[in-house]
Amino acid sequence: MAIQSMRREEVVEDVWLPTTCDMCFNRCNIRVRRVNGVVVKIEGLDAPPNNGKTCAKGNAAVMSLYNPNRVTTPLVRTNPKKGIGVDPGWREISWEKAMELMTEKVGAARAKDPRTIALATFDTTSQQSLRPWMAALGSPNQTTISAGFFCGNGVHPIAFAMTGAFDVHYDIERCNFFLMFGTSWGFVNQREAMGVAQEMADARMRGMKLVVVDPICTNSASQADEWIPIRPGTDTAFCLAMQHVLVNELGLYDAEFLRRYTNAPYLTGPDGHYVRDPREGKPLVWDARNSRAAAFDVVEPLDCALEGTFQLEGIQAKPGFQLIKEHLPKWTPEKVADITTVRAATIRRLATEFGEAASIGSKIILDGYELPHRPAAASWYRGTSAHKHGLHSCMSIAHLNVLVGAIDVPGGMCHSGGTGPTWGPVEGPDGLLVQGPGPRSRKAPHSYDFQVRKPETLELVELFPLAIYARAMLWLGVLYGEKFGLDYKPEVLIVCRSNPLATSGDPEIMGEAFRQIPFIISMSVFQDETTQFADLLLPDTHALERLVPLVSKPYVDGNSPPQACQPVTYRTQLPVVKAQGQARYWIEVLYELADRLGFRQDIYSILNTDANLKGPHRLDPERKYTFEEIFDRSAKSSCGDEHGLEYFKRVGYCRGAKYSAREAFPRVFHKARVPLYLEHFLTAGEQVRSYMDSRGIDWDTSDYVPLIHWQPCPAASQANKEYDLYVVNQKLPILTFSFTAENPWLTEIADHSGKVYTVAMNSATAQRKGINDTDMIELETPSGYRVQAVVRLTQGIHPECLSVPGILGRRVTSGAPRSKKGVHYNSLLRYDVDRLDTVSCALDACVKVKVRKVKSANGRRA
Amino acid sequence: MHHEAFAGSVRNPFTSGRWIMEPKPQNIWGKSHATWFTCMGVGAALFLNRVLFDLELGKVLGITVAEWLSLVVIGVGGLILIADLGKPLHFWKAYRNPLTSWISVGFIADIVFCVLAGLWAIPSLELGGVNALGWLPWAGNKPLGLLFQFLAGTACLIIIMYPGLVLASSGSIPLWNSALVPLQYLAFGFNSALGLAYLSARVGVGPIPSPVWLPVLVFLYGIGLLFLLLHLLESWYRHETGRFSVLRLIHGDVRNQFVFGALGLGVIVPLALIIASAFNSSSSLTLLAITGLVGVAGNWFSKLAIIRAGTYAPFL
Amino acid sequence: MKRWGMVIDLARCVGCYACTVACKEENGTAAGVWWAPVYEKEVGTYPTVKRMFLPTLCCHCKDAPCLKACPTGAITKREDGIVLIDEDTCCGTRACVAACPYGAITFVERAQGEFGKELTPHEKATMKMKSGVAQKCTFNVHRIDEANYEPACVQTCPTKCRIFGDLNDPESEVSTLIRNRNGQQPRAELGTDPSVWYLR
Repeated sequence: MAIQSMRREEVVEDVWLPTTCDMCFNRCNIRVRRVNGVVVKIEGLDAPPNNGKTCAKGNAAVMSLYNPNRVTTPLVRTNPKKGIGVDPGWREISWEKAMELMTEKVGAARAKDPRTIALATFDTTSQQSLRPWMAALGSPNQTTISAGFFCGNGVHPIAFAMTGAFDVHYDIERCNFFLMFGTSWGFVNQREAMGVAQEMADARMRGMKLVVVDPICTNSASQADEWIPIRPGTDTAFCLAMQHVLVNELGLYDAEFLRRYTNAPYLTGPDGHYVRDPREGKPLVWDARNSRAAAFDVVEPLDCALEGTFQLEGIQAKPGFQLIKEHLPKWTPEKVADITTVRAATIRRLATEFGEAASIGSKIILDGYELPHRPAAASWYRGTSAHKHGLHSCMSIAHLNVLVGAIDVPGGMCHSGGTGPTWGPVEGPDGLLVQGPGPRSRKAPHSYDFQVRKPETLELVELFPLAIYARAMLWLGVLYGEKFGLDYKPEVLIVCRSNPLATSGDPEIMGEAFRQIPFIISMSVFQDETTQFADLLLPDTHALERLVPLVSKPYVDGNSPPQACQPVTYRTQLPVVKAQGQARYWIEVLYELADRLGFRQDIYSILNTDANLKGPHRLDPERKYTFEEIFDRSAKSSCGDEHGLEYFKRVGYCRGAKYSAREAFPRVFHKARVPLYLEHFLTAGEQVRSYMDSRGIDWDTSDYVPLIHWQPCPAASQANKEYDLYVVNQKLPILTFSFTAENPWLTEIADHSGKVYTVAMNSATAQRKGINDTDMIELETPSGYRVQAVVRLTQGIHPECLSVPGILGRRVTSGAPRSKKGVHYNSLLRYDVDRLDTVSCALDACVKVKVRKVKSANGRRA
Repeated sequence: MHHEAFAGSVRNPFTSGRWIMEPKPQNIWGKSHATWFTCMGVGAALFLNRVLFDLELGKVLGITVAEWLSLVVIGVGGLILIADLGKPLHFWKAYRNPLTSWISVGFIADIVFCVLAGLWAIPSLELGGVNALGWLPWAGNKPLGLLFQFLAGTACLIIIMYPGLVLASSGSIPLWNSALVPLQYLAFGFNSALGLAYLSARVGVGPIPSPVWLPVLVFLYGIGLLFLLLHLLESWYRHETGRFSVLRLIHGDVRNQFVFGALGLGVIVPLALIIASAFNSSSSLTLLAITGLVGVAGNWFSKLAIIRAGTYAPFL
Repeated sequence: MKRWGMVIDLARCVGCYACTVACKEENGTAAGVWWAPVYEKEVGTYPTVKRMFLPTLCCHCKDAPCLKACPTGAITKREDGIVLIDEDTCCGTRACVAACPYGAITFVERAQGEFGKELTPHEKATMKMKSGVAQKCTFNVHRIDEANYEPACVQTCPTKCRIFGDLNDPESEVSTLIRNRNGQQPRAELGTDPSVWYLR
């Protein structure tokens, strides 16, 4: 009976319940209408970060919740053979038996060596609750999945270096020229999707010029003032050319900023390293006023020389900036035009517009503070990260912001939660910016005090001193870890709410790695490629069925930075409906496991600190608490005694103090410097080379250089010219991760759009090849992998590219309509150590294919 | 390529396919409608030819074949239409909007015709050679009978044209949105009906039509062709989507139905057969009978082709 | 008297389909039925290309061609301009579909759920569509009548590109936007006088 035509007496219950959405990682505040126990509608709550809005995925969550093919009982494997498409022979068992089995396996592994237990999840809402569990378990091997292969690799290390935060955020509200490389931020993709969508629309309507550099005319490029098509993997060259124009042709850079807030004036010697004060070891700068070299922290910043060559006791020293100036002419717009396929005049014009828009020297008053105003910013994310030389690519973009002083100031590239009421960036070694102490979502593991050493983690992150994680190495670590000095092998893998076999590297290689792990526990809502490898498959709750026991803190929540001059919001996920079948929230399962294994008390102790539980709200390790009780304490600790569980059940979120302009734009309030000259890259490279040589491993350290350079991706150097087209992946606003393939509303729209399950090709390129719209074509990679798909012709793609979006072409699903449609992009990629960016551990997503027509649109064979 | 799962169970010309703003072929009406429209036109024209020009096509059980055919054909057409409805048992409500809906007007005309023409035919019934009901006050050309003929005949005029007017009233489909559509319906209705007179004669049911009708037949096919060609030209020049539709007709997915069916069977072959019959007096009736048959088939194709080729114009 | 209308700002729309899904969820339409689709249109040649995103819905025309074409009188217009199809009166001729220039009307021959015969709890609760009839957007008339609440598509739009209000009030946001941004009605030349206006 439809609710709209239900008679009053039939409606026993009609309530709106608050919670947060889980259809991507942004955790928008939502309210869910429940009528007679059934979810009938989902809408946004009018609070940050989404301000009342929900996207297509959020609105479609009800179809994921009520998918009739969910995993609903614990299942144990009976077929010992594991492979994609191999039936595990699931047998239903009771939860008690499942817990016993888990306790046995995890307990045994923990007793032997807790590091042998790895946990993979991208359930960001549960991260806070998971971390104490991993810490108490004693394993450092917690991993996300594809996000750590392609996406944040080129963002987080730079965010930490430039702002001391896990991520960055752009102040488009006060920006006039916004350059985006390979990302659709602000177009219902990526972080802060709902909030920024409106900000971006407002900014564009106000007159902010948006320029999108991307091989594909994505949703962002379509709405941009200019779309600049670029050959994949060449953004570094593009940005270096822009830097050359700014620095050497126009002299348009913020010299004061460079002197005060970067290591540009630090003197370097012939070996590329800093020249240091012999006594205290501090990097020297040239004091131009007094014509002498002195430690960076004793010279008035405005007196530091940025250029010149200075003789210091027998060595020739140059400020880092001087080296950069000398280096950039290798990358003039004319020289990179052929590399990038972007005309020199265009690059020069954009650099000029960017530099001029930055309005170097201008100021703005916000919240009573006078702050520098730099209304020009350059941004990036996955598109430039997912390359063999991705870190350089991303750094070259970040440096555009550094050059014009648009870091942590209004209009520019800012930290995302890195500064709060009691913490912020501080000066680390050599005066360089590091994350200060205080509550935070993530600790930067290396900063500048890294030491490459024998790996302790399965992902061998110790061999990647400049990366913040090495997710892409993990499965290769499982396969080849011994070679690198890892002295243990994984015994147990727990996978929760994640599908590594579909979302990361080549599923065949991933499968090999999975088969090496004796016991795999999978906690999932749907059957997928990964659950097929599990020994024990447990039914996970849908997000609308669970209570996350800790309130998420707005300051440290990397996915939704507090907005300047607005109150911050605390929120969590609250259950709206009862769990389906025998589903249990996976964190609850893990906490029960901890109880059985005897480390629950340790979790509570860690939680007390981690979650900043105060006074009467602290957890007594001797007691056992329900998740309701834990949440109540967490909420009251963060938000005050009036804002416990009951309050959150009613309202869903809590507003805190206003986020001041000083906290949002902290640049001028501290002296920590950001790296323009990447001296630490040299140090890191030396350490990596030394370690790898000692183990006889051939390892590419060509990117551990202090000056950014462009190198072609392996795909670009492909000798065989038959493989002439790059296949590029892009994100979509209606699908995310792999689980949305089970949502029939979203997949139907995807089908109708005509551009999700098809491969897009440039119309002119197609014409040259005799291919017509909706023909069936076959793509073949140099490794011989072949896949067929319908082609869609478009003007909106670089002539050398094909587009295969999202995570599609699934092989194992819970059977929703269209859940297997499309092409699986990740299968096209070579998953190999030599395809990793050894600096950021990103996997190169550059692949070239050859194409042939299989069948015409009208059905005739080619 | 997509949407097979819902094809047939859900119809919307814009949302059923790719969500691209481009000309969209209509997907709601097809063969049932072509059949319904053809039956309406031929049946009504047969009746008009009977009452206006005494083209009886013979008699069976006292009632002219023209009246039998018109009642049966219009009845069958009506049933086909009703079966095609989403909710066939609710068809009877279709009279409710005659001020603006041509279907309502046509429905009322259909009822008026069926009742009045049916009633008017009954007095002529002869069973076992006996005409028992000739006394009925509306029989034959008695005043009431003439009134019945007039009303039924007027209804017939509406019946021939209203399907074309239904199409023509759609501003969303440029190909349909033309006065030349109901005009084609008029021409083809009459050329089909007249052609059937020769068929009837050839099978020995009706008399051979007077020679005066042959040039009329030529005229009716000729004007059908003229309306058709004018319609193509008008669509081509008046709207971009009209051009798109015309290309579908002469070159695209409706080519066979239009070129071979509508043009070929509908006008070219009949005209050729008529010319042949002029040079071949021994087989001329056979040739003209075939003309009648082929003409009806071509009539059907002409309606089907235009219905199918109807394409919605992009609206943004 | 109010005249409900909507303004859609194409400069703000980013083609995210939030409206399309919100509509489906609010109205419980059958599988394959979409009352608020977003169309794409590619303009230009490489490299000067723009993909336009065009959100659409029933325009609730003042001179509604669907209303005129329907033989059973199943389509009526309220005083506040909202045009509604009464499924119980509809007999499924599809004359309205033929008449509508905006692709707003769908003929549902056989209503079914997304997962086949077995309806999900949400579909059981919201799907009220009968088979064999035509149906379309209602401007979420139930939300307007029950709570003076804007349609779901308007409420959800992340870029606020849909604005709903009274076209008869010259000071309303919709009227002001139409005036200041030179709003256009789709296929205005047909004389349907749609209540949905587009800004470029």
